[in-house]
Amino acid sequence: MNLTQTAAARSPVHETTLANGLKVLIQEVRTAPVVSFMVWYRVGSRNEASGITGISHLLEHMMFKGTPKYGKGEIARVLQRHGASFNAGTSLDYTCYYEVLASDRLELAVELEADRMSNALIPEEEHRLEMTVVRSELERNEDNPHRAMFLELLAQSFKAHPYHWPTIGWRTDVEQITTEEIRTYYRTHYLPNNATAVIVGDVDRAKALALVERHFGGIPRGPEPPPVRVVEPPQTGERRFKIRKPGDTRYLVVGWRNPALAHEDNYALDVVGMILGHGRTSRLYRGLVETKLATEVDAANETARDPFLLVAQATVAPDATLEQVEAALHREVELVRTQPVTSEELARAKRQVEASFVYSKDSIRSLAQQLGYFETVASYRYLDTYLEHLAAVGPGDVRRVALTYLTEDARTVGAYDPILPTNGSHEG
Amino acid sequence: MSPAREAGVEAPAAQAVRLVLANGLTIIVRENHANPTVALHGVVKAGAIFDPPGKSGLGTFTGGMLDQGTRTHTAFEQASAIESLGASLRFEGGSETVTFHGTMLSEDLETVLTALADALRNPVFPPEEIEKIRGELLNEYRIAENSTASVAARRANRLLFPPGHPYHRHSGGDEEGIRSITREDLAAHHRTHYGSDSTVVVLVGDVTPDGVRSIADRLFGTWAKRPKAIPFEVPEAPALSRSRRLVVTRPGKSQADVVYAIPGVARTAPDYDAVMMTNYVLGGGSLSSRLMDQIRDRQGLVYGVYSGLMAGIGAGPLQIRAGTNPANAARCADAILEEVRRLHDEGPTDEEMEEARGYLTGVFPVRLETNAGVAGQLLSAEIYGLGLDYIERYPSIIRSVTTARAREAARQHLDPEHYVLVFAGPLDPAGLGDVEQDA
Repeated sequence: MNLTQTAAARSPVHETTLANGLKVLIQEVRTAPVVSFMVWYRVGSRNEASGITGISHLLEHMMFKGTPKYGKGEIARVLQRHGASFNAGTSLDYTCYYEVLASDRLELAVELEADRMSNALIPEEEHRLEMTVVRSELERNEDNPHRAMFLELLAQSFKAHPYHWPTIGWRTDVEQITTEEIRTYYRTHYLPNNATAVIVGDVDRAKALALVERHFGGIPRGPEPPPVRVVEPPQTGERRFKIRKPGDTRYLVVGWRNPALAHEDNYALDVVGMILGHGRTSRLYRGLVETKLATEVDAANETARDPFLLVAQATVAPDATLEQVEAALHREVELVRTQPVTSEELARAKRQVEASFVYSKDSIRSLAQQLGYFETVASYRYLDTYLEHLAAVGPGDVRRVALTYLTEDARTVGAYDPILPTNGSHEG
Repeated sequence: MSPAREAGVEAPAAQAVRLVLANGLTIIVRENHANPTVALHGVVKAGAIFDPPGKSGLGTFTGGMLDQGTRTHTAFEQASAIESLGASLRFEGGSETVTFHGTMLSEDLETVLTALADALRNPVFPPEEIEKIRGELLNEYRIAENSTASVAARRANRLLFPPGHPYHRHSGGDEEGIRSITREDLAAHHRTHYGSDSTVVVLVGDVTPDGVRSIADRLFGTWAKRPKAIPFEVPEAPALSRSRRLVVTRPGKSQADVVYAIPGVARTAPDYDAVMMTNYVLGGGSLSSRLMDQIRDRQGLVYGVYSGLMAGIGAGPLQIRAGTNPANAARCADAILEEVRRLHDEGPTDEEMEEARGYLTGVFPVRLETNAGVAGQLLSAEIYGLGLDYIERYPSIIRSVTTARAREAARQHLDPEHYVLVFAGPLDPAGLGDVEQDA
């Protein structure tokens, strides 16, 4: 087998939809006596509205606060006692809950996730207590320059679409969301017909499916959650922003609007992202770090269910200026737009993606993560044909998408330009 | 290389094999043919503990130069050789060792090991690349100084360990050290500390010991030992005679960080496992630890509070770290001290210990799920002399720690009276009692 075939080959994914609409994906991978169980809900900050931004994330926190069966803190305690690694995450397009544990304990995870899909209590007192915890998470984000830059980039790049606000929410919304609003949101979105259960690991698929049937089968289907209708209007001119806070490290970020994940131009845009900013052989590394203008660079085509951004960022070197870094970055992008990339660069980008597919097979958790993510934002089958599409990308495609998407008018440029300490102790 | 088995076929858990070349280079190999991939992990015993006075950051700087040009390859060629394969190979400076790790397809094993050998043996420290890495290290240092979490942790170690003690300094160095390091410093550090006898390589995945040995003999067989052996050890730090409280002011931040620190234990200490389990009960990663239960769930002061036991070749710190709203920093510190006192006085309960045993033995196979996870365990077992069969023995080691031993460990090691407490953030020192202020 050549690498492309090795990367694409995988043990089959068995897809079932229960009568109540719950999609179940099971993949038998018997490399270690371990199983990964995940439940992915098709709800994230994309489904929120002004006034309740951050509610998806807040709900995720409340999902650990108990059901009639498991009291406060019991969910974590029971999982830990059984040696499970577990957590939850909320993003733009999804909320997911996962457990990785010894395969003979799978039922515990299935039972527990089924229980909290419909029986979470969301007590008012717990909501009140949790607010300090959520506030602390908000503040932590504010203090992280990378986070702050990325959130501002989204706020500037999206005016109408919910990707405009941070997944953690605007602070005043988060502060004022009521417990009743969280409960309503929970009942609206946490439904078997709005979720995918994923099992990857050392299991027999018939037995695993029977476990899911037993625990989730009795949960009634609910009304389809309201669709997100808004479409972000085209950007018709460069947008710029600046963040000024005390500190002494400068950062630059540039975002260009890309199409929705399922769009075929993303295969070539993924290649553009890698050639621009993946690794020490990338264009931005050579043009910005090797020249000592930046100490770190990175670029990637970040895709989401709806159109999102190809993002490039740089940390400005102590002796360089933001202006120099920006000029150099635009210069590198212009070269990708106007001159064909080399066959070596193209081959390297493809090989890196193919190899990463092979590496991900070493971890049942990353396999489950991929299935759940792609099923939630498009289809898990997206992975089946991804490498074929990638292999077909030629230098002409790279140039075409670069010319189409990486335009001055469709970009947003942000600078983190800190207020230096007054003693000027280490000005470059 | 043996062919990878098809996914879905159970691979027997092979024993790890230890190969020692004639020149002393140690290689640990564990076979797992489930996928055609290999995880690489290793160390050179050349970390920051060997940094000379005034040259803080030298170990990390030297580690950062290994892939910045060798006798036969430029930095770009080194990067290209790895990235063209879709493989990875990274070097990272740490407190005790410079570590390297990588991932590759098994068909690329020899190419990646060739690049590893070249980087470890033949770096030439080109002046241009030195300045590039110096800029990176300076930026990293400044970013850390501006992060309340990092600066609080670093200052805590500075107070906990006296000047001159290897753990006093941070492995990333400081402004003075990074600026003053010369090409000759780097080359001399490399000559002194890099050799076949200070290096350990671990390979886990689609490899065989015989295949590895023949490649390694060719690539590393002529590598000399260090000019003279250097003990890999860290002196014991004197006990704290009094508590120290320090505030580091960082205006404009939204959050404050609080760090409580006391001396911990070495990884090789006889009661390490009892201390580790006591620390788990206190706040070693569990969502329902005592610290999380009290300070997050009951008092709602933090998003997270963790207790980390940095047990190395010497007794590193035990640090409790919490991020909190600045207005709650003093309360948060009091709550941490209260939990330390309670655990010191009463020790963990039988039920807590049973939960700790359940979690640690249960989660162990989860951690070993990937080749990289196995490689990490085998590497630390080798460095700390825990034995090749450490992975197999782990569950029985954990089950053998009794509540009585954990209580003894809590009494001996936790200290509610002598500690270091550091606050960092947009804080008014007046609200924090009797505190020193960071210069």
